[in-house]
Amino acid sequence: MKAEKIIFAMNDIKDDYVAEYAEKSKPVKPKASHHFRTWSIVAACLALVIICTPTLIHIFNSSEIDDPKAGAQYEFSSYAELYSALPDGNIIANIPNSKDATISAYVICPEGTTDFTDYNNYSYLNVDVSYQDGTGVNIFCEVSSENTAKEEIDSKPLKYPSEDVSMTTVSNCDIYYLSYDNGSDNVNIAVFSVEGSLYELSTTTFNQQELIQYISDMFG
Amino acid sequence: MDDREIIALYFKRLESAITETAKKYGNYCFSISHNILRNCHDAEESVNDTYLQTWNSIPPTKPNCLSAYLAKIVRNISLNRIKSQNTQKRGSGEYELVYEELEGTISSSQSVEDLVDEISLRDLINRWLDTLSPEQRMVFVGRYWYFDSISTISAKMDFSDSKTKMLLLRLRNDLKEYLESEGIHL
Repeated sequence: MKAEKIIFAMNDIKDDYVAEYAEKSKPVKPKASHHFRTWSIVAACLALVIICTPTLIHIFNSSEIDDPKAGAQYEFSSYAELYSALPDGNIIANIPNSKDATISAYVICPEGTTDFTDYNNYSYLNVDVSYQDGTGVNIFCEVSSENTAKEEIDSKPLKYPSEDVSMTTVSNCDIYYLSYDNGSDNVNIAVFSVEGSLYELSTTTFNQQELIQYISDMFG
Repeated sequence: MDDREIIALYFKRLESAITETAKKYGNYCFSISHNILRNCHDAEESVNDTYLQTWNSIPPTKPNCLSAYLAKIVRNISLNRIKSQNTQKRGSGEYELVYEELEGTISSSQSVEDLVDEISLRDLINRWLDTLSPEQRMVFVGRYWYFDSISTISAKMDFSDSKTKMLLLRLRNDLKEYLESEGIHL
């Protein structure tokens, strides 16, 4: 039983250590074609220098900062930056006790987008909220969703088994919520739609009542 | 497809996320599970359970290292599976050998459960791993995290089998000493 305890405790060692061993490749044994390989490497390096020189010169001469790549994720540097990009009345602007929280957020936009300050360009907005007392909530918003909350629930039976989903109403908005065990934590999820956007709040630190209260606070 | 793109698929709730995960990490997850379970069918089921658990946990989780995230899930699922299978009889293969090695290292009449909770033990093991050289750490992780055989580890590290065995023995003794120095008298 002691060994078993250690075996299970080891499951949570740092990701770096798990990856370190996985990424360690088998050593290559020296072969007879040693000289050929050495000269091949030298030739490849020379070719690389010739090919890369113009690019390197361009990079070192350029003082401009590249825009975020279109279609890529864009991470906000602060909650203030996200806040300024949100339209009036968006509930993410009303994160409860935001001053006591560490908030990180990023968006995913359609291909071709360069203006990440325009909320209308967002496809998905993800906000992680962590409070000093260890509690936290993840807010995932699909902007201009084709689905209502009910349709979203019905279309994902794997994630939202119908028999587990409950419903309540907050500020005339139907909130669908459920709990499930992800193997290590009990996760509470709430899904709802506001003005065409679909929101999913999930937390492992609030119970269902606290999560509903949290949403209620966001609605003001 | 790189990990960021795969994670983005999970966030978009596209089922291709699972396909891409299986394409990139299916064999990796299978080998971890198979090392523990030594049964292809059970290992395949554990890998499928891993995909489901990953689908259910991303979002909200956004893993920093997708490979390690998957590896931890499949390891945990496989260990729980072997634990439930082996209520009557303990397992076979590397799991059995690893179990005996660690059981031998920590010989005491007092149970570990009485001494330290799982979170403290996890933190202590992480801190102890911090003190090792990368070479020592990889050998220990290869054996006691991945359940790789001595010969697999030796080949990977370019060591002889006897060197790997000796290193593992020293590391087990070192871990025991470390735990004792942290107040866990075993």
